[in-house]
Amino acid sequence: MSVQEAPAPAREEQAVRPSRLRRWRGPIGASLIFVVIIAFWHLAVASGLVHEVILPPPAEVGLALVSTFSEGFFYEHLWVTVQEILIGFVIGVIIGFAVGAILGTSALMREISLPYVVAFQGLPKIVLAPIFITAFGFGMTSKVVMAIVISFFPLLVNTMSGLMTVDAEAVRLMRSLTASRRDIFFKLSVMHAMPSIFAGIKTSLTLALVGAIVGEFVGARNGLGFLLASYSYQLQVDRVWAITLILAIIGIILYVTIEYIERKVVFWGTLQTGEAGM
Amino acid sequence: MNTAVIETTDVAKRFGTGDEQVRALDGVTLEIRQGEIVSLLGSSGCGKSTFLSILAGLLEPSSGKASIEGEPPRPRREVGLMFQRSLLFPWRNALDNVMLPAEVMDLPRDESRERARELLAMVGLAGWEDRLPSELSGGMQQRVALARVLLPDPDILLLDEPFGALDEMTRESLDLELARVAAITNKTVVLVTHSVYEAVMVSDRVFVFTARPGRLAGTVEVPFGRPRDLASSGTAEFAQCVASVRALMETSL
Repeated sequence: MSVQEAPAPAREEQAVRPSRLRRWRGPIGASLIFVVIIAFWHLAVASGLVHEVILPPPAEVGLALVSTFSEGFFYEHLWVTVQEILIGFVIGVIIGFAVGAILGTSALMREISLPYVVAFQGLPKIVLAPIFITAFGFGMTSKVVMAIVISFFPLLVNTMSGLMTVDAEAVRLMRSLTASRRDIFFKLSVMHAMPSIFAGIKTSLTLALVGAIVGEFVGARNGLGFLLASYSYQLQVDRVWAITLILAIIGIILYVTIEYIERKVVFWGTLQTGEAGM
Repeated sequence: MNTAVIETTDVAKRFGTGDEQVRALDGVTLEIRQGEIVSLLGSSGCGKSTFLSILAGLLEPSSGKASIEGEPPRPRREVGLMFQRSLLFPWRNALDNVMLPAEVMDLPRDESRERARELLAMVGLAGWEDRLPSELSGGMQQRVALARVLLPDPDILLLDEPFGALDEMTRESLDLELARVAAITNKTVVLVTHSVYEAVMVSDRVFVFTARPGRLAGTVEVPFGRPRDLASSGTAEFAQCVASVRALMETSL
């Protein structure tokens, strides 16, 4: 070659190290907002703006949180709900991906199933909860089914659209290399769809949690949704809020885990365009 | 040297039906010999890329016959196709992009990896093997694509404006490099281009296409041997050759 590129620069040189302030401004700002919210919450209750029966002061909710964590039965309920979410989520993801992959690669299947997809998309899935309780009982199964039904759809849509936007010329390249349909699917289309698939997975995860809790609201003997509903009937509002916070924390932990996996899998960046052209 | 590896007889391609039918290509008959470098030259929309797709076995001709090494065209290891865009996969580093044909064609892994490294070094990218496409310039990406098409060691290279998106200097140096590699390894090269200069610079023969429908307007033999260098383009013979190609293009409009 007449032109020899200079040796590749070391990666470390490329990354400009952010200053300490830049690095911490996000967490510091977020913490400040947290403090402000707690302060407003406290003042709103103390001044009588919000009645204590609706929203107890933060200190009371904090105490309820501590006592909730110290009770053994809480962990049984927690475990039930976590299982429902995870099993529902995993099965929902498998179904969503599989159906999305079929619809994303076959125009015929897409045309045949489009009316049903649209109808299902329009249906508020939580209305199915009472039917699932009747069909699958008060145990975990009905909540898992609810979580599956509500969570598989966003991944289905994202997998399908991700696969459909694959570069036609890249497919031509693969074909010229004698690639089979299988090679084109796994080496090109799925990888191309990965950023979109992960966006779908994150939505599915949040919805799996919603599905499990709604199922528990409608009819259950255990689980955090059941616990929350019971506390609500007993007017233990501080505990209702404590459980609510715990559900938020579960949601955050699951979401952060998926984001971590996403960064490992979709390492090339979610919005890559330009010369690489994919 | 004189055996024809690519032969087409009356190849035509029509898209669509009825009133909306577009004749992209009509009655193209030509012969390309083993080891030759030829250019398909024409304005955009003259069907030259369509013709290349037919040779690559990605499109069926509507009528007429095409054959590669005596067989109907189909995607295979002996024929390599390169595009104007690098089409590198952004999730693969340079080396793994070059390795893609080896994976798809089930070539021996270790041997191919060794060859991929050599090819990257040959195109001037030694030391860049583990870089992602997003870390490479446009010219570097296209050189990775060149290494990729060369990996399975095809006998025939079908190049669809492979350096068309690059700046002129990079394009010239890559053109000359390509001609050199083709000569050393005795490859047959079909280069689609809309640059008269590029066509004359690298080819033994230039096929000039007319537009809509794409027809063969004529052929110009380039009267000097290879290897060439940038100095070749300064000669009177070169200028004359460019002029006769241009004349052919103008009469065909």
